[in-house]
Amino acid sequence: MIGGLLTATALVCSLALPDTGAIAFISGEEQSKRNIHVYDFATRKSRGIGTGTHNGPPSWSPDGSRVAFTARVNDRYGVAVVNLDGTDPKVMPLDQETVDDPPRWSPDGTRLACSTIQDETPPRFDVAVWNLETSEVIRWGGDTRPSLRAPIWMPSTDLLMAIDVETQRDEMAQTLFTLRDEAEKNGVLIALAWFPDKTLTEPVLVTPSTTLPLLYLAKAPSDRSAEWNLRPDRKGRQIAFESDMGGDREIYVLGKRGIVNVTNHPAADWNPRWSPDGRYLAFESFRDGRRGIYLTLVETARVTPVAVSESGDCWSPEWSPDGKWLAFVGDLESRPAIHVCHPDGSDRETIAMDTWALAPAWRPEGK
Amino acid sequence: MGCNRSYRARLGLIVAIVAVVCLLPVRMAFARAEDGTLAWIWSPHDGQPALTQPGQSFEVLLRGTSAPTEIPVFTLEGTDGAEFPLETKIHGMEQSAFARYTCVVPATARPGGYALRVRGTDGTTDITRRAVWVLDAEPRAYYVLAHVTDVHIGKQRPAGPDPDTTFSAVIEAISKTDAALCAITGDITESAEPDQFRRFLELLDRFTIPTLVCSGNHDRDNLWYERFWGVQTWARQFGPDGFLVFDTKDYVVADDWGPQAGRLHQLRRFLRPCRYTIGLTHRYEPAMGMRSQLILFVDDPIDLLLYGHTHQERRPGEGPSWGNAGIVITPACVDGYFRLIDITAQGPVARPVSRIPEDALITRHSDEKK
Repeated sequence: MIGGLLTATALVCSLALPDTGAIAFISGEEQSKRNIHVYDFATRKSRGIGTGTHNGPPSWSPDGSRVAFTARVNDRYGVAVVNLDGTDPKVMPLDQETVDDPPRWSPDGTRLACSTIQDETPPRFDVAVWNLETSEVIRWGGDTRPSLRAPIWMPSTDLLMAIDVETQRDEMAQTLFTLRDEAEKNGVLIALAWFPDKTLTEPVLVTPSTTLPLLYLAKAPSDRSAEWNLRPDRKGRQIAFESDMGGDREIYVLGKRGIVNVTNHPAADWNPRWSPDGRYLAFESFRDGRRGIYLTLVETARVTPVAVSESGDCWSPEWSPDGKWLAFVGDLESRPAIHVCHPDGSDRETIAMDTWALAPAWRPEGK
Repeated sequence: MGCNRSYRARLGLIVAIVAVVCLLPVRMAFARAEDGTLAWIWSPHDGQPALTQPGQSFEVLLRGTSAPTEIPVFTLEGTDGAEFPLETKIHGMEQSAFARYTCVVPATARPGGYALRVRGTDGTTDITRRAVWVLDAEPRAYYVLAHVTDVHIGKQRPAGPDPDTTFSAVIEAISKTDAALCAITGDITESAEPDQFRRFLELLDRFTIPTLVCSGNHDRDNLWYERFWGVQTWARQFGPDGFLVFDTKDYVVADDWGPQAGRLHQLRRFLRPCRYTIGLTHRYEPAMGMRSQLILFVDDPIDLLLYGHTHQERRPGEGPSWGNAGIVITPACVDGYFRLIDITAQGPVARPVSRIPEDALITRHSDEKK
C-alpha cells in the first residue's frame, strides 16, 4: 500500500521532471522475472519491452532506436536486441553463453561487443563482436589474447593517435602501429584482461587481431593492481577507470595529464560515469558512511555530494543526454527504485515503480 | 440450578474457545513459530542469530513503516524458562521499512541460546527461536566450525533415506562433536516451497549451537526464501572472527547493479578488524559479479570461502583463483556429508569430510517411518 502511495505520488507530483526523453531499466525483484522496461517522460508511463528471462542492464543504440541487453532465451544466456517498442527481437547467434557484463554498441550502431565464457577449467572469457547487419559474430583480440571481459567501444581513435610511438619499446611500437591500422578500419575496444591468479586485471586495447596493454603505454605497469569499469568520455579523449593501484579503490583518469586520481579518499570510490561535456564524473562512494553518489570535477578533483542518505543506499548514476539530470537507483523506500535529480542533488523525484527497478540508462538524443 | 450452572459452564467454555480462536490469528500471526515466515522481528532469528556476550549489545530489526511512539518490550527467553528483559534503544528507520534497535544483554544472563520475544504496547507480540546466543565472556582463540551444505529438503529419493532423515542424522553427529557453530551454505530446500522451508526450520531447531544459514539456487525459485530468512547479505562476529554471508545469485547473472555489492562492501569493511573473515555462500562461478569478486578477493581479501553446490569435494582448478583466499567445498548433506574446520591461531584448517554411513541412514529412515 505504501509502495502504491509512493507510486501514485510520483505519478502526480512529478512536475520537476524532464518533459521529454526516456529511461530504460530492469524491472522486477526475482532475477528470473526481470524484464527491460522503458519509462517515457512525456507520458509519465513505463512499459515492458524485454524478451526472454533474466534480463540484464539495458544499453541504448547510439540513435536511441534500439535497446540491447543480456537475457536467457531458449535456456541459454545471450545478447538480445529489441526496438524501442519491444518489436523485432533478435538474439546473437553464438554457441557460447554470454556473461552479463552489459553489451556495448559501436559508435555507428552497427555492432555490439559482449563478454562470452568458455567452459574450461579455469574458465576463459572472450570478447565477441556481433555485426547486426551481417549477423556475423567474430572474436576479437588475436590468437594469443588473454582472458578478456567487459569490452566497451572507444568513441574515436583520438587517444590512440595521441600516444607517442617513439617513446615505446620496439616490440610495443610495432604492435601499436598494427593496432592503429586496425582501429582505423574496424574501431577499437577497451577491455579488461583478467588474471585472477595474480590478483590483477589490466586495461587493454582490443582490435580484431591485436591486444595491447593500455596503461603500459602511459606508465610502467603495476603488477598488483586490479582495474575495472573502463569508461571513455563521449569524445574518446580520456578514459576513467577504477583501480586499487594506490592501495584502496579510487577513480583515475587517463588523459592529457597522464594518469590522475580524481577521487582520493580512504573510503572506496567506484563506478565512474562521464558527464556529456566530459568535465565531471559521477561516481559511488562510502565516504559518508552509506553508499552514495558524488560528483568530481575532473580538472580539480573537487568532490561534491549528489545523493546520500542515512536511511538507504544510492547507486548506479547515469547522466541525461543534456547533462542537466542524473538518474540513479536508491533503496530509500523499502525497495530499489529509480530517482532523478539535478547534478547538485536538487529537485529529486522518484519515477513510478511498482517493483524493483535497477540499472537505469537514459535514451540518447539520437541524430 | 445444577442444570443452570452446567449451562453457564458450557457457555463460558464456548465463549473462551471462540475468544481463543478469534484472538489466536491476531496474537500469533506475528509468531515465526506459527507459519514459519518472518513477521515483526526481521532479525535476529535462527538462521541469522545475534552472537553476543553478557553485558554487550546486539541489533534488532523490526518491520514497520514508521518508528513506534513507544519502544516495545524485548525479552530473552531461555529453554530453562529463564527470562531476561532487555534494555533497549531505538536507532531509527531503515529504508522506510524497518526500525533498528539496540538491546543490551544483562550481565547476569547465562551462556546459551535464547528466543527473542518482542511485545508492543498494543499487545502485539512476536518471537524468534534460537535468535540470540550469549557466549562466554572470553573470546575463543580456537574453536571448531561445522560446515553443512545442500540439504535439499523435499528432494525425492525413492532408493535412499529422505533428506529430512539425513539432515537429522547430520545434526545429531555434529552435536556429538565440539563444534561451536554451524554454517549451512544453501540449497536448504529442493524447490523453495513453504512446506520445505518449514520442515527445514523444525529440524534446524534441533541444533544446540548457533546456525548461520544462506540461500542457494534451489531456494530462490520465488520469494519464499526472503519471507523465511530476510536479507541475504549480512555479517556476524563470532569471537575474534567475522562471518560474511552472501548470495552468489544465478549462474552468470552477476547482478552488480543490485543492492548486494554495496552491502557486501560495507560489511567487509565492518569486519576488517577481525582476525579472520570467513565468507559463506552457496556457489562460486568466475562469471559472478566482478564487483563482488573485487570486494572479496582483491580490495579486502577474505581469508576463507566456504561453499557447496557441486555435491563433491573440490576438484583441481575449481574455485576462485584470485590471490590467496582459502577455499573449502563440502559435499552435500543430502548424501550424508558434513565437515569440521578447526579455526586456530595459525589459521582455519579443514578436516577431511565426514559422512554418516548409508546403512545407518537407512536404518534410521525405516525407524522414523515406523
